[in-house]
Amino acid sequence: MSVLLEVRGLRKHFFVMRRLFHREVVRAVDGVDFVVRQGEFLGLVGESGSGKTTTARMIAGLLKPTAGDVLLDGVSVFRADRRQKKAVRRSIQMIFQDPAASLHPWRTVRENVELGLKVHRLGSAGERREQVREVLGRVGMGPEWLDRYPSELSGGQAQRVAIARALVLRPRLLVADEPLAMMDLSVQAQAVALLDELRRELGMAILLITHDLRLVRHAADRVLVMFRGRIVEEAPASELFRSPLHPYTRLLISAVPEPDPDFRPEPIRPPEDDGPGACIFYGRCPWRFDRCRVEEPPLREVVPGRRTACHLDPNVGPTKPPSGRD
Amino acid sequence: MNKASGHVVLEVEDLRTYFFTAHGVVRAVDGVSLRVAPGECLGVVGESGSGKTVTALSILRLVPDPGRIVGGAVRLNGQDLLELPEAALREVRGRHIAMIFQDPTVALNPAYRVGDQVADVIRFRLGIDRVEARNRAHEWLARLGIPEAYIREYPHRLSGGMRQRVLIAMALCLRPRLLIADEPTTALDATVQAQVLDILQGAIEEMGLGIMFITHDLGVVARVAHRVAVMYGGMVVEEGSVRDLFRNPLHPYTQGLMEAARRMRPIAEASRAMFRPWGCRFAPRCPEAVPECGEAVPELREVKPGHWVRCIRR
Repeated sequence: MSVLLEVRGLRKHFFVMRRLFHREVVRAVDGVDFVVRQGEFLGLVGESGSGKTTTARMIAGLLKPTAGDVLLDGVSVFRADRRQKKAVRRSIQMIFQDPAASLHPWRTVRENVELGLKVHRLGSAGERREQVREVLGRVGMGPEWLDRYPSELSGGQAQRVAIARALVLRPRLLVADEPLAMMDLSVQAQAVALLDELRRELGMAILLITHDLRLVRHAADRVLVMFRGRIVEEAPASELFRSPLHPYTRLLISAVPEPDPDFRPEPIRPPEDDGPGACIFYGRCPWRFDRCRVEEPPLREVVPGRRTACHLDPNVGPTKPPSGRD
Repeated sequence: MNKASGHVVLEVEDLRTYFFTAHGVVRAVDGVSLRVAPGECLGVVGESGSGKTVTALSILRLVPDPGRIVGGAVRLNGQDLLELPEAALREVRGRHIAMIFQDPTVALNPAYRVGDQVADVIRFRLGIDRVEARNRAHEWLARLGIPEAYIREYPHRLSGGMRQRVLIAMALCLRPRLLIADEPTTALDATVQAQVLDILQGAIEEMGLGIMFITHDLGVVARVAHRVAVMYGGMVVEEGSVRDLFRNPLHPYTQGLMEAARRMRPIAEASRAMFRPWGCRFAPRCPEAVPECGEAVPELREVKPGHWVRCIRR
């Protein structure tokens, strides 16, 4: 599969006033590199505050990076001229955390979905009408919904309309930021199944951002794990769950509650606080050793297709919880 | 329907809470019976709109308008809370039954330090002096792993997980007999969620606390609950020990939930054809529905000791 989107050394630093005349830098995204291949389902996971959403917003062009670049077909998203920029905007569509809030409340479902076509001057009024109808049908919303308002929709339905609005522009990459984070698992499963089906039909790529590993486990081809503004691990989904190489991934996986009353995760004790180390995960890592305090592990390819930022032997990884303190 | 009686903290019997809206009556809770023993965690699962939260609010008589409790009984250690005068009920709320919610942010006062908020609860509810209350508050917060430095902070300086732990401290510090936890970990990251669940489990064992744990997440239920009640359309459709329920789910809806949790496979959506307001609530979405399902609401039957199901096909 050829590369569709390339993210290079992406950084976003925010300046926050802590006290008067005292600015603090928050490194929300701190040097992120990855690629999205054509038509693939890529998952991006991490806890809140890890920089997932900031990364997504930069890819969608909603936020300017402090440094680094995002390239679509080798063309910089940020340095493109006006015409190119418009094409980029159309090719990368985003669906947001709160679907209801992302729809225009005073416009009907039809108007909400049609707006993008109008902005990009695509098709005649009749063609647009037909396209809106078609795309809503694809997400399972019949013509009876066309003239309803967002307030009349359930959360799941609003999410479908938001997906339709993104799809009507025939994007090549759909960035989905925690869709349905607060909904029932069954509704979430429905949305992910729908996205995957649309991806196959339309040949677009999906970047799904979530803190819930269960959502990417079955749907994603590859998964990126973020921690404090950096990517700490990248792997094909099946391998990531079978043999995580980074301790943070390992902790995330073992923290997922399994629907099995006899499943008891082995207790992994967090280490005692002894100040910061060179590795960003040092403070929380039960597997840390001397080298981690002084030398930052770079994100490197350890096995073809797998990257990790950890000093542990990649042939072993964080297998058993370490018994004693280091 | 008479379940084996033993020592119980909470007994809900045939509870009915209806919402009288302009578009008609919505039977949010329609004949729910539950019991929680001391030191037991009852998981209540179901999708949004199944009546889990309204059941919890009914127990505390906090149902918002236009909802009304129209029938049934809620007994705390044998005393019917639905018959209690309002003043006596306020003594029960917080003191004997504590509740924690999904969103810890709105439950804390942003203008007071978290340590003081917990101390105030202890001071006014137990009528002890300021210094002693503060000591006890600090003790509880420390037990829940809130670092000393954060006890003197305002809520906005704390992470979501820490705020939820502050609320748990506030709920447990009065040593209630029953804790109602409504999706307390849904908004938290997986690693933080695991911590909070461990804390609640510790409290059950240590204090002999009864917990009614409301969630839509079967993974969480498998981890904390002893028994599980599955709700759908305002009714309990299946109830049993956590092991029976996960090893041998009987109701088609429970089976669908399990599939969704294990393989991320969605449950079928409703087809209008099977919908009868007087029939089984799940029939419109049920893969096994037959015409008889639309005729009457099935009884909740005990198919195996302690394992109850509301389905005519079982």
